[in-house]
Amino acid sequence: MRKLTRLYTVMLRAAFLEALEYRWQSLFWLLAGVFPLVMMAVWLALTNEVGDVQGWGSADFVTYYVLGTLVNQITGSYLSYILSAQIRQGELSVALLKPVHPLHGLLVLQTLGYKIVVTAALIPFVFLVSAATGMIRTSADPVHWIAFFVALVIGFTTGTLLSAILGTLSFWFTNANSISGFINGFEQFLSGNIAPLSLFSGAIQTAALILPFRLQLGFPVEILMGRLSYEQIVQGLVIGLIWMIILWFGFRWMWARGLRQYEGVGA
Amino acid sequence: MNVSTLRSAIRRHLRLLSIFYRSTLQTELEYRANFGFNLMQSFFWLIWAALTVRVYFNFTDTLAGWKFNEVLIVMGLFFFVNGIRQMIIEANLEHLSDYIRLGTLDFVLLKPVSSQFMISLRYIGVHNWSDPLLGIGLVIYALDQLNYAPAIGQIVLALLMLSIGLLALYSVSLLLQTLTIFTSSLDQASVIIQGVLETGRFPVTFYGRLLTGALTVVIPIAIMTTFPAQALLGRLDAGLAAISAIVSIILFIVSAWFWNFALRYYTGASA
Repeated sequence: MRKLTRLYTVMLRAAFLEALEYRWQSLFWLLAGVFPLVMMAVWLALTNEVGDVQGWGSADFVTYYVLGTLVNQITGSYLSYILSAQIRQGELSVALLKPVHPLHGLLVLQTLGYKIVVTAALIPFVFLVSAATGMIRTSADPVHWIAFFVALVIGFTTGTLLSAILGTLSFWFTNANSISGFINGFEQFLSGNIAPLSLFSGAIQTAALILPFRLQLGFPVEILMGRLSYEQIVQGLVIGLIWMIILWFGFRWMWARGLRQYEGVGA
Repeated sequence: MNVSTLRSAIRRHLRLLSIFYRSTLQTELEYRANFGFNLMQSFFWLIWAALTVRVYFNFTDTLAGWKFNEVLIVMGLFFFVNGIRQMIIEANLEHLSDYIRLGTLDFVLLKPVSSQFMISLRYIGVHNWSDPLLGIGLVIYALDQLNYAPAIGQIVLALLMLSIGLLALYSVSLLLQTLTIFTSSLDQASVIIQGVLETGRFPVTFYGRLLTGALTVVIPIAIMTTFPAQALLGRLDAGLAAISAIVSIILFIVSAWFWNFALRYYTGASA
């Protein structure tokens, strides 16, 4: 009888987590997958109207956003929402009983359940669009490709850590999701989702260079498009590594303090 | 059915709605802090949306025949329609999945009112009030920036387009909601509706000929935001509007039929 109860408890928890996961999964797909294509459509309407925009033509926009959709799946994260829900609903207590840090569980769930599947599905899509339109142009320089993969790893790490940090806000705030939303709003601009960063004013470009958001879209995509000099690539990678360190320690700190708060409430 | 029975039926349904919504309002009003925060949140996203449009207009004065402030009108209407979607469609969608999962749909079916009425309008997400309000605010602001005051006739036409647009949105949602009786995976439905509506942020003419056609005739997103805006600006294409309106009404009839069809399947299955 006890075995049966335990079995059901485990299954219910898994089902609940899955259901939670599903909702954010679909939402993430909407924001990271579909939204860039809507942006692209409008840019194409613009190039139709005025021709090239400061060195960006139709083919450039198509390349940027199609690659961008792919990169978004790899570097983007909806960890903050799942973590928030777990904290608010007390589900975190269960995760804490496990012998590994809860972050691993969430990461595995998100990565295996979503990222790998969608990325694998999108790669043929990218080839298809490339073959059909002939518009997708990537760099032929192998150094660029190596730098691209390094940038992807950095983007994935910083993106995940950022999302995790935003998730820990739920230890203190009930509407942490709204706060995450605001940050994501800024992120949409500063990562290059709304427009390629070189199309913004100098001040915004400088801000985008310093902040970590660019690492998740603009930076990797522009490397692969061959639009950055070696100097700019190295600069970006160094900034990326610094952010990785900052965000890692930032997360550790937030998590430790948040957990103290969480357990103090007698969970 | 003659006029007096129709009128009493409408009155009965309106009275039910006032009972439903009054209790919801009382509950929501207890959380006063939320109101201010919601307003701030809506305002943030409104400004954010306006900025995303602004980026394009840094490089041109018109885009596919639309000026910046004219696009803001469409954006404002999008906020209005999206807000209504969250208040009515999303709020009820959440409960529908519960009804099906917990089997309480049977109780809804037992009530002496149309089940479609109950699952569509029983609940209202009062806390989403700020989006529709600010959306209309943006429309007024944009019209002011254009130094343009639409004539009464144009406003009426715009309201007509908007109403039919909301009807179309409701019908598409109902179709998806009905599907959950068969598939019981509701979260996708909510996101799909949201995603499709997102194209309504911009005038549909931005999207190229093929997509514009699809968004006018297949899933009439155009009539939700673009056509009302065009009506206000006095440049609505009567032919396209009529086609869109007819498609919307057909969708409404089909969705109502599909709901009843699904119910027969549902009651048959659980018997």
